[in-house]
Amino acid sequence: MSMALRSKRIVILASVVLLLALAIADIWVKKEAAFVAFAEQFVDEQRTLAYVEAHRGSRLTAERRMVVHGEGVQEVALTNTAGNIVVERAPGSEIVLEYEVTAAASDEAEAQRKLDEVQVTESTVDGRVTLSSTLEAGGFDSDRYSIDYTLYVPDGITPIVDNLRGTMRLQGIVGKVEAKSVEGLVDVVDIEGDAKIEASFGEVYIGNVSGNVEATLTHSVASISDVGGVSFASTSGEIALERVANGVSGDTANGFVRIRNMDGPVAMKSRSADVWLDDVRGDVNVEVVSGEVRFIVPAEGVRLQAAVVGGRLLTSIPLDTEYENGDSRASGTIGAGRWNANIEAREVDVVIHSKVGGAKP
Amino acid sequence: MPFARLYRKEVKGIFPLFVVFAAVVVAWHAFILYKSETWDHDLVFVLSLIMPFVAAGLLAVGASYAQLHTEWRTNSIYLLMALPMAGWKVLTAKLLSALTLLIGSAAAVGISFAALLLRAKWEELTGNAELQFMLPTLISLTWNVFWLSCLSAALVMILVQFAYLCGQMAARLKWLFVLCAFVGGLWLVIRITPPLSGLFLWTPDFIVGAEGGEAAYMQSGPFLILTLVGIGFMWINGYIFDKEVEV
Repeated sequence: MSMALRSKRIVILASVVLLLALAIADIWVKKEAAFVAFAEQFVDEQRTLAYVEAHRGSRLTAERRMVVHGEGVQEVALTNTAGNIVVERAPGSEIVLEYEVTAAASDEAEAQRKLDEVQVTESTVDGRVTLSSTLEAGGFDSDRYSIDYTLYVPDGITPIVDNLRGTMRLQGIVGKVEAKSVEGLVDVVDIEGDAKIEASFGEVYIGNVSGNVEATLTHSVASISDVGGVSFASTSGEIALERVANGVSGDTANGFVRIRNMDGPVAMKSRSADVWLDDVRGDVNVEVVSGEVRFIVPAEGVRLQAAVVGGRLLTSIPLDTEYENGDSRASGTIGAGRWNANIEAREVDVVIHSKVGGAKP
Repeated sequence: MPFARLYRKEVKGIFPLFVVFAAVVVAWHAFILYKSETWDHDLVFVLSLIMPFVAAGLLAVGASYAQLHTEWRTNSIYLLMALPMAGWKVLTAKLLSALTLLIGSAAAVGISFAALLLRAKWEELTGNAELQFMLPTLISLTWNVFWLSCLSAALVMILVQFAYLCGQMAARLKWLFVLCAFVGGLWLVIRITPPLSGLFLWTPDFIVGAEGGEAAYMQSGPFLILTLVGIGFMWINGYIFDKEVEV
């Protein structure tokens, strides 16, 4: 190899190594500045902002009202993908819908035209009144329209409400309620009847419901208290249940469940979730795969049967415990042994605390 | 024409890889269709579109490295260098073959998605008013993301060629020089593009999205600079290939 060729190669290779050294020094000193500058050069921010402002223009609001006679109606359905929903008890026998529509456009005339386009219509089929706006049926831009509803529902008529990315509040209803929410917030309070709630990526609060609650939750956080009975199914969510009068049944995967201070049986299956039971005054049947179980024995005591495979059983209470190949099976009567508690756990740590000490095998 | 013949030969060389990829994608989409009833829409979208497109890009980049690596490993590099063709043309043929199959793979992903998954949700989608309104924006976004991805993939492939050729110049520790060249070259592109883009502020903007709907204005200057940088690296690659690389 000629000297010239060799020296050219050395120069190129040395340049490459120098490039890397410069890269490391640049990132060391300037951190992410180079990457930020690279990323920010592509968008013409000034022009984009001007475009957004130009198309925001004028914003107009109109308040409207419609009345639907409630005779022969069992359900009223309402969907909103552009705002919030409030459902309250109607004083009389009529269903009343009050709504506030907001439309934005580049000028006032266009905003008014858009406002006039939005109408709410009703249709009745088999005892169900469906209230829907033209926003749900025709093309619209959610940045330019919004509509907030307040629905007044007479006693005995079930409101069925569905909301996307807004807030929902159902309060003071006499009868059953159904609510479905995606990426929103739901409050269901002071209901004399049953409640059926479905939420995805949402925040849910259910309080003071005299009937039973059925909750289907996906990636949601829910707090349920002062209700009759609860049945739930949760995926990748967190649920806190308190002061439930008639028992809890449920299924959860990937998340967290806390049940405390309640009456009635608890029957649960859980997968890859943490379960916390505190002062459950009823029979407990829990099957858990992967996660943690924390059981705080109620004052009335329990007759405990716990089988733990591939996990640990931790307690200060002396129980009759058998060990085999790292698995443990424990049983005993704690305190007065009023309730039965059966815990089957696989790859789970089971922690048992008790205010009452001592156990009889 | 020798360039066209070389291009066809390169395409034939890496074609089986992309056929297997297309078959895997179809099977993957069939699996997602089976599971789609219980999965979130966002998860279905990411698994059925984003992941295969990213995989296709990575495959194309890997193929561009493998093209050169195979030439040296099988000693067919001698034949390649004996061709009456400039080095940059040889490397361009390889680059274009990998890009062609990248575009083909993207088309395969799109067709499989439309035939299997989109068809299953057709009624739900056509009934979605917001989606109908946003259709022009979505089409614009899809087209712009597509050509931007191709430009990015081409740039990365050119850097991979540059890195590989630098590695071939070293007698020992080739992998170290490959790494230095790739990371250094990438950093250089990131570093010099913003100041050079300032020279092209006069070039027109283009819109991503639809007028009247959601939209953003993009400056064309940085993309021109990236294209010129890519061409510059191609020239360097050709020079190294012709003059410096040890065979």
